[in-house]
Amino acid sequence: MTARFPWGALGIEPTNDRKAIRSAYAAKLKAINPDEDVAGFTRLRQAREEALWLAKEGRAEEGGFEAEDFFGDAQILGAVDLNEVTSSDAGPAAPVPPLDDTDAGVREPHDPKPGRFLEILFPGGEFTEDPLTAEEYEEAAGLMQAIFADAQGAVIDKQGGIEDWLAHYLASGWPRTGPLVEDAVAAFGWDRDAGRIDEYAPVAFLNARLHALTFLKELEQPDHEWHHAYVELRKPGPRSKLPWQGANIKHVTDLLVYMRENYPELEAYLDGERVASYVEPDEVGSPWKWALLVVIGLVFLFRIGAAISDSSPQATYSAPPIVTSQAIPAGWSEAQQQEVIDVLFGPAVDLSTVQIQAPAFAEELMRLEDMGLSADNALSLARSDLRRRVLQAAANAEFGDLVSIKQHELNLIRWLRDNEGVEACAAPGIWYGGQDAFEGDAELTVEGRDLARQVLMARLLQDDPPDFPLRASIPGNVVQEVMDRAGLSQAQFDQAAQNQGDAATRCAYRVALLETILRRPGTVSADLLRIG
Amino acid sequence: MLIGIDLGTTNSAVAIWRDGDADLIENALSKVLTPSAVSVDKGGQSWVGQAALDRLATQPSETATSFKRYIGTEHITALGSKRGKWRAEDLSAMVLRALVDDVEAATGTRPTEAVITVPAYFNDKQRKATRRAGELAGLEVRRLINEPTAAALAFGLQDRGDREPFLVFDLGGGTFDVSIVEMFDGIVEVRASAGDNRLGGDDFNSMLVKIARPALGDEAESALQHMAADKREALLTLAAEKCRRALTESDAAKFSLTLNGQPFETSVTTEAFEEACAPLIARLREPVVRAMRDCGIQSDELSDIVLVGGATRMPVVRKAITRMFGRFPNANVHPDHAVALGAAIQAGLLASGEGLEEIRISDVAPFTMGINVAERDRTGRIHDGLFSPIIQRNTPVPVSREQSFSTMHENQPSVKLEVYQGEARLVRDNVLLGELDIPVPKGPAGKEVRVRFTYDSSGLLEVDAHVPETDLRKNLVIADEEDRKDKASFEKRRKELEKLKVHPRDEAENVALVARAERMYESFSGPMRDQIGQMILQFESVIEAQEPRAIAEARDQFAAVLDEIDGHSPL
Repeated sequence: MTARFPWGALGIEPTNDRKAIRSAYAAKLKAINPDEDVAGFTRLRQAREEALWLAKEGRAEEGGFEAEDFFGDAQILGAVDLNEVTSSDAGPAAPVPPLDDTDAGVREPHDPKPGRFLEILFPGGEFTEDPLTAEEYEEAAGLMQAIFADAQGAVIDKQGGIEDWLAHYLASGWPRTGPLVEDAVAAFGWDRDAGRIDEYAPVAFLNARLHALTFLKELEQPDHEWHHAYVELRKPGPRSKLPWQGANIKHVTDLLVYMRENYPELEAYLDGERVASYVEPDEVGSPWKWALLVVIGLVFLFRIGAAISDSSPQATYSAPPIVTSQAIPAGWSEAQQQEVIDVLFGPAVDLSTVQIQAPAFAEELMRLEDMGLSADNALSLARSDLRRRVLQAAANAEFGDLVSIKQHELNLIRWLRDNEGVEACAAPGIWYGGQDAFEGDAELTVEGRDLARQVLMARLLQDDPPDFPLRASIPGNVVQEVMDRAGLSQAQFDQAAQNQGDAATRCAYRVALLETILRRPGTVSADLLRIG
Repeated sequence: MLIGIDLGTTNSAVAIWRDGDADLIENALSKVLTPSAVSVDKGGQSWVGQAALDRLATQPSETATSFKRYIGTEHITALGSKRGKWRAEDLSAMVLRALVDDVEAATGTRPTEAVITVPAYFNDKQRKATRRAGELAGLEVRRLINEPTAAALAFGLQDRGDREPFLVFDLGGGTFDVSIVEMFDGIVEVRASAGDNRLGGDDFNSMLVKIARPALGDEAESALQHMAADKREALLTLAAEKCRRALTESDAAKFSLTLNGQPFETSVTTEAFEEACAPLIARLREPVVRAMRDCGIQSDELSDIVLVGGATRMPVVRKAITRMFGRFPNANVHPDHAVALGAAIQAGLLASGEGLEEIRISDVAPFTMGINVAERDRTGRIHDGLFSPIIQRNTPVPVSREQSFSTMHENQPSVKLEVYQGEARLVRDNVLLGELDIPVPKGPAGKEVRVRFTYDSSGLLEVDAHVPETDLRKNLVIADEEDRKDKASFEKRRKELEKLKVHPRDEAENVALVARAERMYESFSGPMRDQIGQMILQFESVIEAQEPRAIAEARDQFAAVLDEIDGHSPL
């Protein structure tokens, strides 16, 4: 057992003693010349990090990863409590977008109590597109000044936490929060982070919104290359059929593509019908709609990379076939309703919560109820719908939620690997292989429910799938670490990344990729996490 | 002999490892800090250090300071004769040479090898230029080490004990660095570094000028307007520096200038200064947050906050640091000496010096390195100029990583790899380090090219490209434009620097004293000014008589008088 990574590399028995790990590392390091044995050094250093991490979690004794340990992280989910985020006078369980405060130490300001501020941004706890009234703006701006003062007086990581907290809610509440954004960006210097690889997702979103306004002003200048295209697209009605009228087609296309990629909200300034007459009908969908829902949907999509080639499966999720079944007219009792909800989300959730957090899914439940199916059949349909929605959630989740979701996914696939075999673990696109995480084994059910509840509370259950394929490049160091962890060669890695190769390899790849990414959530692109 | 050099923006220092300890070496003026200032006159006579700094007021067009800010750029400073065009690395070489002279005078041996410190956040070009400066000064640069790492060595090895992670906050004259370091079992390990290589004490001076200048009045403003730009800059900078130092001690200080023999002054309060500095203070935060996040360490886990760099003496900066961490920083290390002492320790390590056998240092790559890639989006449009990282910042070094890429076009003849360093998503906002072309076989798009980056402990990046299909390999050691120039032209520059006339060492004190007196002459008006002028003439006539004892005596007297009146000097 000691031969297992990381203990073998350090030459010690598994231990939770930090000092022993560091001493072993020091002794090994002094025995090599890192510049002459770069690979050896890298491996040694990784072994130490891994060992210290295991020791911190108090899980060293088993050595390496063991199935029963995988549920040790489940408490991550417990930390999300809506009532903590909203103030007591905001009404019960107001569904303001929850914040995963386990990630990167996001924390609410101490003073003023954030409740009133959030209540203005999310009246009644609800997201709204309605603009702030003058009075609301005055009050919110005043409260925000107090938040700035609180942040400025705080210790550095707490200040960072408050910053992230504010960025999260300003981004979640956009466009209602629009008038507040400029002040916040200026107060915290967020614009200095614009364009950095490690830009915090909500900050990136807000920076982009500010840039959008700047871009709009530029377009209004007559000497801008796309000015005429812009003016043309603002005119009401379809384009003229006369070829010599209208704007330069290339400029129009370029402008639209650029806008949709960078500032989709600006399309609201254009005339829908005119735009539609310039583009293919099926391209017309309003990306702004999902951008609003998803908040941080605006991710820059890299492809090129590493192991992901054109043939690689892109994480587009297909819905499972809908089972049609004969409707038997009979209603559910309240107890039956709650029973279904219990099975899906655990007892902490009731139907009204589902209706608030995921109206679309609640409707689906109602529909099942109206169909008068037996509880078992209804449950199995509800589960398959839930599973589909949960799968989509990762594509739309905001960063903090994403990390939690992926942590569950990792736990689940590890469980599958150890209990159901590598085939189940490697099954593409379906996390739970042959096993249903929402029924069957008790341990798995707990994990599945926690996951479902997490996604529900993050208001991600009702989202549509993103209308773009997800792609991400895998940074070189991640590639290296995945190969090391999974014990894969470069060729095996490439195959696994393209979803080829045998099940054992693909399983090892999935587990290692998620482990690697989750160990360093702040430094890897969110897209990689989404597809990982 | 192997020496350790702190080549700073404002001051430089040199130290050596001897008898199991690091020792700072004094210069000809018996000071351990040598101002990083160079002055060259039309006849090719040169001044380095305090004398050059004093000449800034009297001969601004012949004098350069803070040139470290321009190292690694194309910036040219014209000093002295018409042909006197100097890069920052040339000027740095002059400072280095003066330090080497000091070591030779102190030990009797001329050192040939050195460890030179650079700001952690210095990019590859800046590092290469620093290395060349050493070579121009006749030194083989055995290693460049990061300033906060050096300071951490000096701090951490005081008692050789283990230390939980501590943070080194290094705000120098022109650069700002943060490193988080821990020590255990003789391993000095840098966990993360971050910084801003365009932020330092000089920026606080500029801020002071910004608030004080309008308050000097219209008459002063019009006098300033009619002055040559370099002279104006020099006078304002000197006044600001003096005012800033005074503000360290009290709540208000005078900002005073003598223009065309007429004195002007205004008062600056600490409050006004702090308010003006708020944007600079805000910029101190980001690197700290980044370093802490990169290694996942919270402020309450830090065992100490160690201050390094002259600018950390400013109360406004100390206050900000105290607020940032909710506690007082550690002031146990000398902020101006720690870096040079650390460099000497590193030198001792390289030379397997006594008492250092069991010490190992491991550092991190302070920035992200990667290549330029193109990307086709879902509408088929190609986006070029995207940055694809291969080595992430704060990865422990040495490190070697490979990543594979594929060709974009059918029958593409070759792949052009542009190597960049930086943290921006778009390569145009990052620093281009080098380029490599590698031919690929004909055929459909998607041909694989593997790129390996190897970054060693000295901060040297090597890029290997490999096309598996043809098994073609190409290697690129990132060399700077300047490094590519042939050896002959490098030698020529070295000769040119050597041609500069340097005052003999035994005259250094006289030269510095005259420069100082001339600076004071400039800053006074009326009878005091005439008095100083008289004294300079007298002292020069004693020097001409070449009677060593008489010179020494006159020098001491003259210095004593200058010391006394300098207390009242507006400069």
